[in-house]
Amino acid sequence: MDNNISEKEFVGLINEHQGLIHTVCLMYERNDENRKDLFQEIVLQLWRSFHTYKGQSKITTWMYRIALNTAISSLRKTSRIPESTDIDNLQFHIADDNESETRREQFQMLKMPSNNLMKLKRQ
Amino acid sequence: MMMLYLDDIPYEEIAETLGITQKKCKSKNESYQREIKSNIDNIMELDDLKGAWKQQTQQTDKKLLNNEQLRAMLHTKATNTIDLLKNSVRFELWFTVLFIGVCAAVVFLAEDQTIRNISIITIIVSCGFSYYYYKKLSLLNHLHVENKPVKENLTELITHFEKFLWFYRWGINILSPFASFAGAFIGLHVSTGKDFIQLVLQVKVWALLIVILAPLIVLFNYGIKWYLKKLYGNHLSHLRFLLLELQD
Repeated sequence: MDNNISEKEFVGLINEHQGLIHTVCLMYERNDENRKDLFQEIVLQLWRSFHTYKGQSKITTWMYRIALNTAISSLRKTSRIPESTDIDNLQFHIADDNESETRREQFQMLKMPSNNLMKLKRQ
Repeated sequence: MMMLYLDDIPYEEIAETLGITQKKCKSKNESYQREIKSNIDNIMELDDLKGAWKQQTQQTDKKLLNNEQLRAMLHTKATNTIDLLKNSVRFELWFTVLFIGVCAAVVFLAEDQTIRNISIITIIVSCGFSYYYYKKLSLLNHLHVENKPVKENLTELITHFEKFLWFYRWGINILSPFASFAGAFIGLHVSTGKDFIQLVLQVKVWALLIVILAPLIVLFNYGIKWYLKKLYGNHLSHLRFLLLELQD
């Protein structure tokens, strides 16, 4: 019974804040299928860790922590190379209208995290 | 950090999430912003970037899942690579233990001394492998996500991951020569019909086996090193890089 109550609470909580999880997934996975897997993985990790949430911090802080830790630590099934936090990957998800074209160009200019990763790869 | 910033999360919350000081969080964010500005020159302001980010996240809002879909997710099996690895090692461990049981039964039931000898050697080698799988599983159990700040979680993850890779490499590098020599002696014992202990005590036999097996063992060692680097090298480098970003 307790389990059912907490499951209901948990689902409600996820529903309310699922945009946050989508944001993390969007940042870490460019492939649609991988993003769905990561979303599911984060939801499962949140569920497994739900008992550790004691209310000391904001619920979103707790959710971000688990979501980021899951995304960072998850080994990719395909290339095993994490997609990193490369902002310019977002260009793939932007709709094809004129305004979005500008946005796409803007994102393409954002090479900050990818530059850092390139330095790392050269080491 | 940038993602949290673009999501309008206050510094206090970003610092708590990542496990760094607010001061550090602020200075890091400012350096990212400077880097962005230098990259995008005059084409884009940071507010434009925020706008673009919001537009992007609003698109995901269209894909929000309902309660039923979310509830169904809680009852699915985990698909992450660590859990799959654990399942595979667990299977190997149970298979080896079962195999030891079968060999033990053969030792007690078989009348042929040769078969009994082979079974005893196999049990000894398999015990080594069982310990290897058991230890591997316990190291994998440390690679889980916890409710800790990102920096702390990363530090622990890297430590455990390095331990796991070290044990993976050296465990198999020690066990494989052991298994190869045991297999070679069993082969000689069966093919020549000579006493097993006598064969083990012959220096000539050892010399011959070392000449044949040593290059293969060295090659295997390099093969394992290459394999682990290919599988996990990028991941480990990525984790170290992220930690460095939070530390410097």
